[in-house]
Amino acid sequence: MFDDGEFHVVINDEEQYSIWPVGRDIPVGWRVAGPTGPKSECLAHIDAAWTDMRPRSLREEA
Amino acid sequence: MTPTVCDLFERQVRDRPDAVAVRTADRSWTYAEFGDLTARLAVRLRRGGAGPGSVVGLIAPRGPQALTGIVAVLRSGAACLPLDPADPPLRNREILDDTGCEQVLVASPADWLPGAQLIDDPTLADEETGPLGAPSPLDLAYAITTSGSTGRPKVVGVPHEGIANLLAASFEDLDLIRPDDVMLWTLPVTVDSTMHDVLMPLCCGGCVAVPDGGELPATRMVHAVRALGATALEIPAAVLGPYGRSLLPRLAEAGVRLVITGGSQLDGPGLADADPLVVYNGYGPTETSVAPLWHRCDKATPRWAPIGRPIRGIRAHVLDEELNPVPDGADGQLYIAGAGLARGYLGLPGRTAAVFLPDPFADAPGGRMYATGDRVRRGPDGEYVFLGRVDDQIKISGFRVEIGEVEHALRECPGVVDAAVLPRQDAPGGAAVVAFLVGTPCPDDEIAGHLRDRLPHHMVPRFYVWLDRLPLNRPGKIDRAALATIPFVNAPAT
Repeated sequence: MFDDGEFHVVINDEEQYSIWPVGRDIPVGWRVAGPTGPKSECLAHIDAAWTDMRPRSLREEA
Repeated sequence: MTPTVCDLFERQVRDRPDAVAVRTADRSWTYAEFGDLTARLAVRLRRGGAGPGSVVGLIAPRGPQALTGIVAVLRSGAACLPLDPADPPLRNREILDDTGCEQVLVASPADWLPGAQLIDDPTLADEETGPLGAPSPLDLAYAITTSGSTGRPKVVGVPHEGIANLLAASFEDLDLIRPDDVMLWTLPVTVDSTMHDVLMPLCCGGCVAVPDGGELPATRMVHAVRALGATALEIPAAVLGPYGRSLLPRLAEAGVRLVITGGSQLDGPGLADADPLVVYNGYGPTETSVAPLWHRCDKATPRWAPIGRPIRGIRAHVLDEELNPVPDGADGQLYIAGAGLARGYLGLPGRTAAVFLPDPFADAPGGRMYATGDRVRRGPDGEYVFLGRVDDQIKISGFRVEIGEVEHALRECPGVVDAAVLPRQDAPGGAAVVAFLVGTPCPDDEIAGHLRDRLPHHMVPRFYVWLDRLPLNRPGKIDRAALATIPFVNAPAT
């Protein structure tokens, strides 16, 4: 994916994080959950915020 | 719900206790015996805290012990992290620590791992059987170490649902395995295809044949097939491409009905000439559960074999740099979505998020898609063709050079058995395309002459180096890092 430009930090219902380019419709089932900025900043935020990578439905089962 | 590998294996133990599950040159284990052996080790692991959600290391060379270890870890409910005993202890230690492994299975004691559990520990015979793990489809089944392009290795965590989906397709759609098959285990323990190759037979009532230790070059494969009565095996594409024409008829004669290949672009003649033996080309990054696309080679398969089409539960998108779909026939990056996606890179959420992206084309909200980094094209027949790596596109004097296309053209030249191409910055006169060749050496001019009929001028290599064979790395791919250091011409003064 293109490296330049601005990205959103996004999250889905399973509380999995990702990034999405600013200016494009965010895919269904995802919402903004963090800063908007260069890719590296978004990924650094995710490194700090996404502490349990299990999908939410699995965490709740446990 | 799709059954997990634990469910499938246990069903075979119940249904056919006397069938042979595992075979070596010296002995064999029935499903009852192998079920018992792996259950005792699984109970021992569970006593030590293993279960769904935990990761257990496995440090053993390919062999019956490693196979026992894989199945025992899965039956404990934990995820299996195979590591190579030949790798530096420091690196293995680091990976075990990073992934939170509290238990490690070993084939032989290691000084640096004092607390490790021996797989053939005689005291396991006294282990009482108890309840085994019942992992959920979202729990991790295995974790595979891939070398990162920079710095520390990445460990890909693959959930049960990924391998279960591939197994269902292997049994019901692709006919990759049958209960009467004997699958020869050829790959290293640390490669994800091993999980597919050994779990397929064990989950359908077939047999895994384990050849004697060490490397298994093409020259020894026919012997191993005969000795163990194998009917199916995997051969890396880097081996099958150049040597398939000579190897496949001999394998067919020895009783092989199916050859699975993959790992790199399959490029070579004669893939459908050993009838009734069938070659299946599987494609996929570890991040998408071994191989979510498959192509069955037939008479119409070109030498540059397609990577095929997605299996059940998998969707493939070809997108441009702006993440828009490209029309059929156009180049784009391959994105994979669906049941096969890994959870991500263990302990590396940022790097996971960078390549597991929201899927704008998903049928269910919140789906993800994995950016493979591979450039492909979808043909009018729905088959995908691999073109190269997105970051492999090199430029020489401002022109784009397609490495794969050059290698393919070289393999078409008379006398060339195998070829690899590398841009080298250290070439006299500046960056140049260098060809490494295996076969019957001939003058550079002759080869270049052939290539000029097939390739744009800027893609014709400037230097040609003949080798006895191309260096391969452990998973059986061409070792480009090794090629980068081979002296190829009077070294320029640097």
